[in-house]
Amino acid sequence: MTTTIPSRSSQLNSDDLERIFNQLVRWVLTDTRSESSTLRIAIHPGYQQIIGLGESAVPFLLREVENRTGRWFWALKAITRQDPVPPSDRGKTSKMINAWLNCGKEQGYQW
Amino acid sequence: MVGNNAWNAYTKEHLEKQFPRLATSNYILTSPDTIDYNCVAWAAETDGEWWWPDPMEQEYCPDGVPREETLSAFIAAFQTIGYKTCDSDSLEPGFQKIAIYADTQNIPKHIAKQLPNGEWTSKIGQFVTGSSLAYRLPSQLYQHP
Repeated sequence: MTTTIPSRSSQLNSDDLERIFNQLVRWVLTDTRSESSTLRIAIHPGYQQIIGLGESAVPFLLREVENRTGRWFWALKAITRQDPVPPSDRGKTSKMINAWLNCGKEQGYQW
Repeated sequence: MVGNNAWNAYTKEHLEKQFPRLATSNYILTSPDTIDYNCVAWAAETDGEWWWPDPMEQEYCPDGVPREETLSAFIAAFQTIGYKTCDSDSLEPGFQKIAIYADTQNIPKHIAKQLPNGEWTSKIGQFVTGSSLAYRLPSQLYQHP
């Protein structure tokens, strides 16, 4: 499975952006189901394109985080250049999810 | 066995597509898919954390262990919880053994742990196929070409 996105995500309307995002998510999840390496998941070309969507992808990523579909923390950190997860909670999936969802709400994101 | 027959069939089909030799081995799915933990955490006896020495510093990595995908980093991680390297995968009473699978460049890909009966168990990846797996011949899963 491969997919590409138009080069200027800022010109996409919300529906197109969501459709493209969902395609990329499916691509990443299909290809990395058996992967334990967060690094190898993050360098998947679909994952890289999700990061490339920039801040407009954050609400969709928060939705994926809430639904526990995969490890999207790397993308969130890369896009927002923030990390609400304290060092003591690194890798603790449920706490990481809560930290990112709380951070997203505080910053006014809706998903 | 976990899950219903349809889930088992779907998951096994996906697994065996990726690891064809599983189709002729005797394995069972022992826990449902989850993103809560990975094979490294499972080998380290925890199911609430994702262990990986990622450079983005998202996942758990024991203090003092380099955040790099190297065999030495993985060995160092397990030394922090009492493991030592050994020469044999045979069952030895009183010892818990794990096997770190690496590719030809010594980059770790997977970890399995030995059960008290000598069989091996591991967690495969993230979610739909992220099931704990008991199988008799772990080398069949991640065998070098």
